Amino acid sequence: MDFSVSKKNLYSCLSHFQSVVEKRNTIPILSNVRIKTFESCIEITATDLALEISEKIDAKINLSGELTVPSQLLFDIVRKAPDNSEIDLREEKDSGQVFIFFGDSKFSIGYLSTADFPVMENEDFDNKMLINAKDLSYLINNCKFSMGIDESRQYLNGIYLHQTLDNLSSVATDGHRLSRCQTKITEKLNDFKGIIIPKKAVFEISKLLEGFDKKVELKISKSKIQLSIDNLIITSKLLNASFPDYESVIPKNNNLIMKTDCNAFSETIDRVSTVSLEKFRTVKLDISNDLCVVSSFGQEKSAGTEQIKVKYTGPNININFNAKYILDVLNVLKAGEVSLTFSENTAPTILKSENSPNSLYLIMQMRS
Amino acid sequence: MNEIKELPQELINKISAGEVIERPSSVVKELVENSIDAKSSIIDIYIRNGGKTEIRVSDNGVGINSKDVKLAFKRHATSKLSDHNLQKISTLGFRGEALSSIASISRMKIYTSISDIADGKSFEVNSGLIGELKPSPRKIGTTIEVNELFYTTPARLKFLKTENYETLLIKQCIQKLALSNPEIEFNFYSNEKKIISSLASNNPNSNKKLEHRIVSLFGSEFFKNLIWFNEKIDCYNFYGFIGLPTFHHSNSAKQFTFVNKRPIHDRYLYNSIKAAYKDFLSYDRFPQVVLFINSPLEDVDINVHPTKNEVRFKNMQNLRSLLVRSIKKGLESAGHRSSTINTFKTLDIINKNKNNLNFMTKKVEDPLLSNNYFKEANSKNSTEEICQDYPLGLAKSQFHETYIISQTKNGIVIIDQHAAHERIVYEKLKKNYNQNNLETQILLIPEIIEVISEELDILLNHRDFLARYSLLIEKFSNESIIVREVPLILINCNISLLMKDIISDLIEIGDSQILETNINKICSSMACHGSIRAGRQMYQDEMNKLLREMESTPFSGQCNHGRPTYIELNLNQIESLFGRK
Repeated sequence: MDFSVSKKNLYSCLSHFQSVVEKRNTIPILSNVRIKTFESCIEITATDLALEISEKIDAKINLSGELTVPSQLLFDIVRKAPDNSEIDLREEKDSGQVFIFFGDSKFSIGYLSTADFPVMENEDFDNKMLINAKDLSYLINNCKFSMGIDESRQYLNGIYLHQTLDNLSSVATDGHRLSRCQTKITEKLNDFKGIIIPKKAVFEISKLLEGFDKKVELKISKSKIQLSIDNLIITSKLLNASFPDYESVIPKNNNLIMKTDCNAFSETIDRVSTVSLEKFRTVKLDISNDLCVVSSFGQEKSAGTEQIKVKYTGPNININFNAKYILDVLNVLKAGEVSLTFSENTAPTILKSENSPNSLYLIMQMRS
Repeated sequence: MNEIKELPQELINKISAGEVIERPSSVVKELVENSIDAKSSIIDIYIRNGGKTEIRVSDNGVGINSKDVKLAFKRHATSKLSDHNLQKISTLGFRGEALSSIASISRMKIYTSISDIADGKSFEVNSGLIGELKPSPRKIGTTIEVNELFYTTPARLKFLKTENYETLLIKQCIQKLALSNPEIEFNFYSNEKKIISSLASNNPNSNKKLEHRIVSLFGSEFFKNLIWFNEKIDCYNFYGFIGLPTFHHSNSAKQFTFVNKRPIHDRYLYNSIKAAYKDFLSYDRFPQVVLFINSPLEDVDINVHPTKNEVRFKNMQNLRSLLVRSIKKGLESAGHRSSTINTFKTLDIINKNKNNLNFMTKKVEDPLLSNNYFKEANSKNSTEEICQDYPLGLAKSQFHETYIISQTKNGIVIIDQHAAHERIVYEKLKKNYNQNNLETQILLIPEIIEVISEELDILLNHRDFLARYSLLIEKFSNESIIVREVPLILINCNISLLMKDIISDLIEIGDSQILETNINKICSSMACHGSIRAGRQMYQDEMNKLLREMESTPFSGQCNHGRPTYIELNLNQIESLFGRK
């Protein structure tokens, strides 16, 4: 194998792989990326057995072939090459090394053959659709913070993607709070039961979609999801679990509505909760006519309190929340007016914003 | 087909002897207990060859009436259970098995007298057959000689261990009986060599009496690491000496437990002791205790096993929680005290190095003592005199930015700054956490946990107990429970794993500290992050403040894993290192 490629292209491609390749591995070849030549391009692939990314970049092929090299080391070498250099990769079969040339530099790395490199089996994808990168990015980014960490309940550790009427919906929950985002789709999906995308894939997809505004192709089978973004293909296994009937926890009878400015509310809560222990920040809301008093208590008699103007008519309410849960929601809603809908019993509170009408957030209160 | 026959008495005795008399130490136990029940004030024990060749127990008790001699060697014959009341047993023995059992598997000689006037008798018993009574003058009391133990049961003889080991077991057995009877003098000789000699104490104070006994059995160093405690709760009285948390062993050999003065070897009691020390010791270390429990006679059943090593309590669960509470209270009184064992370890190291003179000379030139590295505190401190009254003294300096040296009235103290501060922060966090009622996160999606129906019942019976920790459960089906609310501090825990652990605790010991342990674990990791690290330079005021806080914080003598937070060297010890004394 012998080819040359621009540093810029190779570097940006390899940077997509760094978080996929696990740093500590019992199977040495999993720390490697596979490089394969095609007519006028090369394809680089990385996998951790559950998640696979491969990307094609233009290259000048002198001699075709394929091999695997340590991902981290290759990345570090390429990163330090001068920005506009051309990088030459040449395989030397006798010594089992790959030589890397650029400028006056010469490096060599030992390589492993591609025979043992695990590749995901090809799959029949029942469902294919084109979706705007922006829309998919919204579905993922605006609900991913609610994913949980739970060894016994696997379904909490990912995003549930499913179809509701002509919407594609994403849902995430950690058992204490829940987020749901929806976006309209025109294409009809056939017999789509809903899938759970595992956490690692969620974070990778979110990163890859950053700054991309064209359409992406989404393919789904019973056990895998595949996404084609430009020249890159990411394939992930799905979480083998069934998502609970989340619709039933969305309360229908919450009728006490408080409205306030998202930014101001967020700042207030952030300020007040400073006094409570960092790990478990609790805030108390005392809501009366058009006024909400946010307070928090900490160690050694410390306390903080702040009033904020709100729109509210109804009976007085006292309610406690984990401050982090509210801040996470306000953070993605960003600006505009946020509405909190309470009930008079212990039903979860609903958070919505006019700015993103397709998002719905539930937070379960605390008892103290 | 074989006929069913009644076994001959001789065989019955041998069989039962297998249960009561397991090894030479069991013989010693039975005979010494008889002597104690006979109200002796001096008991001498002689053995040869680990008790395999000879065991002789001699006392000055009431003696055996000559008309009762034959009866004494019959099975289930005893003078101790007078009113046929098994509910209230106040003597150590009561089953009437010991003498007949020992007699059936050995050759015995008995010398006994019921008054100082020359009316003593002696007789032999060979494999259960009682020989003729011969006149043999002696003072009041009884001497029993057991020779060739197990000669009729060679199989058992084969299973005995080495002489040293059997001797050790006998020694331990005597230690236990001696601890519970400080008003009796004990002497123990093995192959004519004196092993134990412990005089009776006349001190009317039970605490002093026991102290005297412990010092004579285990030495004063052992005693220095113990704390006296005495708690009367409900109908129970718990008292004795409990070890400082920094004074721990790798096994439970030095945990002596007594119920109504009877040495007891009981798993439940050991578990309770462990539970009381849970916050201070790592799980594989064992505290040292000499613990007495006095309970109304009718509340305990000692008739569990012929060896009477185990007991059953009427209300084990209640006893357990009372015991844990009173030990903890006792430990609290120790404050910052740390075990002296560490002082001795330190001295050992220095003494070893002393032999290597070259090394020592080098050590003196070490930067440690040169002024540049030794961050000297204000050497002339006006408050020095006052500070020296503090148990942990006045901080003199910090070295390697990790340890503090302070000067006390009669020595120096070396303090591990991180370990000490961590414990202080930990105790504060725990206190704070327990004061601010436990905050609860209600679950949006309740967790369903599958259990078997027996477990379900146990959990439901303990619902109130769990609710005290803000863990709210309900029955979901016949084979599952649903968790509705969890304490805020545990929201990132694996709840189903936690529940499984709680269930097995509840089944096994009827109580669970898992929740508390988990909460403490989180406090502990928060404490670790919130405390000053090794490698931070400290000013003298900071160091002194730390010392004062250690003095006022309970359990500050050890870190969360039982490691000491400080070591004390007193002036005498330092002077002896330099050969001044």
